[in-house]
Amino acid sequence: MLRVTQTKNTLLDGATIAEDLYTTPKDCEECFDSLELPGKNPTKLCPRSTFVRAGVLTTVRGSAYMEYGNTKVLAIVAPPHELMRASARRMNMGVINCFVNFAAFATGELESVPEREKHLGSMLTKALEPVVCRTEFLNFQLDIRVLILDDDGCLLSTAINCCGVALVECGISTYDLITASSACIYRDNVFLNPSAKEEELLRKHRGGHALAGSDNSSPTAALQEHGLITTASMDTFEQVAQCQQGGYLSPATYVKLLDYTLTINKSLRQIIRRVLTARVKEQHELDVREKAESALEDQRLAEIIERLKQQGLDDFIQTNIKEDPFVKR
Amino acid sequence: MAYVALSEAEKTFILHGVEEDFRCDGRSRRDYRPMELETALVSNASGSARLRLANTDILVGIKTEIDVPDPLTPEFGKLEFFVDCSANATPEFEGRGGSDLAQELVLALENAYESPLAFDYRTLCLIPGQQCWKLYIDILILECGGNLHDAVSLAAKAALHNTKLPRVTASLLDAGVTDLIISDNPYDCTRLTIDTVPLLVTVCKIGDYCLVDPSAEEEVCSPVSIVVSVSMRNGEAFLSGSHMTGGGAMHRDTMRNCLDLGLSIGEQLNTLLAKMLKQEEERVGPKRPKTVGFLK
Amino acid sequence: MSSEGDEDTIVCLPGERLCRIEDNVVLGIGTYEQNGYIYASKSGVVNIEESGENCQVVSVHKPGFHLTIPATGDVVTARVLVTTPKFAKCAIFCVRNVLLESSYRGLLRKEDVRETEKDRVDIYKSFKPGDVILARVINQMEQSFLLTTAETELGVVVAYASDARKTRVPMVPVGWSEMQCPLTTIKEPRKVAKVLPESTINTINAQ
Repeated sequence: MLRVTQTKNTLLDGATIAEDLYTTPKDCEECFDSLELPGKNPTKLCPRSTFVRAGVLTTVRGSAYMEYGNTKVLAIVAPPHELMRASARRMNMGVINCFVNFAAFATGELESVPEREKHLGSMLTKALEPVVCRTEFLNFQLDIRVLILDDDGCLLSTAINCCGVALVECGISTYDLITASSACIYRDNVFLNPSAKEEELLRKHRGGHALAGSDNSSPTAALQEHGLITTASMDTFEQVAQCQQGGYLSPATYVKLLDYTLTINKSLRQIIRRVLTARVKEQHELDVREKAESALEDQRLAEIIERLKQQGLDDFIQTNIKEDPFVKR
Repeated sequence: MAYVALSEAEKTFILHGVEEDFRCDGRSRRDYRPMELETALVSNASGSARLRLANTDILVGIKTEIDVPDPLTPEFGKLEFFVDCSANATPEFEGRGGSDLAQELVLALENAYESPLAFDYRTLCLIPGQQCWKLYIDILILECGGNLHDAVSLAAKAALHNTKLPRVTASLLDAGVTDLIISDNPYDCTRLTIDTVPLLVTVCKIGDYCLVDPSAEEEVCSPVSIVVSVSMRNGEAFLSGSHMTGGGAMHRDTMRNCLDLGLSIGEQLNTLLAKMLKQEEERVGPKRPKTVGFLK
Repeated sequence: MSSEGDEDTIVCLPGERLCRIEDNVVLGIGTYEQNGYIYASKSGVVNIEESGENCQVVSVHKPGFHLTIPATGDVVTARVLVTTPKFAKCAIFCVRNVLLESSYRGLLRKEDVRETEKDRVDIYKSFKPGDVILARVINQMEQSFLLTTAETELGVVVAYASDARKTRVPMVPVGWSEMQCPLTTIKEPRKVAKVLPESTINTINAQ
């Protein structure tokens, strides 16, 4: 095969550009070196700093916002409505549709966005199907919309977490709370909750380095596992709702990563539980207050009606006119 | 997905069969249905294969094109999958009915083939950073009888094996411009190595048991299944992608069992396919035979 | 497991185990059964109600917003959108006394307009697009709800005369099959609902 050496650039008056028109494996190397390497066996199995809030939008009932480190995601669940396509109908089950959208400024590279949106949507639907009591809205479809405001890795897992909260907020029956997290392995380093940079290394260069050092003749020399795993779990019954994996992993590594993510899911569950419990209490208090206020209002009206009955119409009007503050002025 | 309506009694019957390790068609939980494989039957494609797995019928054609490689992976060629769920398979696929299923299959295949360890993209490279082959893998579903993932991946692998890329020589002209010369001789061609190309294995959970190669009826009974993509490298099985489907959930330990079953079945399937391809090669020989009756 | 609030309020989240299933315990709204236990399927406050003899209903009440979907048997308020010789298409915007966020599609067939003389019903003489009707849900079809107005209390409640749209004065019922515009005194045929005053409904319910 031919090796390209130099390319003439007519714009630069015959000067030549030294090869490297593209990001080379060397750049990839530099990028990798700039990362903090967590090593083969991470010790701290915990989620990133998380901020979750249910009911962020006033116009939509089931909304949730989540920040997972720098990743920011907004999820909206609309009340179920009639099936759009009769062919989508399922035997005694409702249908869930997930739509993922990137905000224009959410991610650096825009080319792959439509593809990623499709992929995320399909995976999100698969992850949420087990948790929703789909028998409760037969012949209906539930539309879940996710808007990604900022992408710093772990998009799918954050979207699942956020949708889980939004579903509960909307009052859709679910069997359990759902939590998700990701882990990836790259060059013998296990990254938990990988950042966008780490994911990009993995996806774009597609583990190109794994082959870079090796010749065609000896593929055994540089077999390096690489891969990303995203797990969604429901802990009441210790069920795995979805486990999506890409890359190239040995079964042992797969199980290892799976267990890491399941542990992270457990601690995430605590955070989400705390948020949702606080939300229910807050709403309950509002409800109680509202009830008390409406009872007070009812009582006031009853009193007025009672007075009206006692005083007779004319008297009643007279007394009330005097009480009117606008007339006093 | 194409659905078959089953009564509760039928479901129970299937469930009991699975528990007894004696399924409706007499198979055990680890058995595949009979397979039939033909290659090199589409004359306009560089490579083609038709796989019939009991009632599931898949036809794959591979077309080639010269393209510019992705700047980030200058040494890699490109693959593009396309699945067509034709309305012949089931009337439900009419219009846009099959698009969801087609998309799911494409995503599963793309995910499985993503790693360069699973499919060596360097073999598709002509001039690093400048020219590479792009393979369009067009998958046509002719009949839908369950277990589409497995059948599609088997057919795709067989078609890749069958693909003949014309030999290309490059000459360096003035000013660093390269010119490609494609060989005129149709028999002067290169083949792809498919040793590590992954196969998808769907492991279905019915009752408390896991089984492979579910028929359409069994798919309806199963609350959840896991699609495992198995790639063989140096006699060891590796995972090059996996996801769960079917709308149910399973316990971690069940998942491990399914995974182990999937891996061992994937290994067997791989040797089986290699054997079938060899037989087919012997039958077809170097020249395309004069077959009569396309869909036997 | 569940955290205690101030005054006896037990807050629960989906997937929380509430209690064991016994003969005198019944599942209410927002719960489901699994392996002999009752679990919550919604977030909210646990409610245990006595009902009848030795029977307890366990339900989860979600504070704030309630998700309402029309169910078979519910009385709904709908607006007529399209009339054809065989059916009238409506948009359901209110279920019982709950106003919906988004409307659901309803279908009122010719046979379900009134109880008697079903074969003589003429949709055009019963409804006009724009009318507000009370109807009962009888079934849920694939893409819409099947409605009926075959009761004296069901039918058109608010309607405007077709050629006096600008006045926007609702017509007044003058019989079970006619309404009249108070301004123009034009009479138009409708399937009129016998709307009961609130006080009588309350007394009926009390009985």
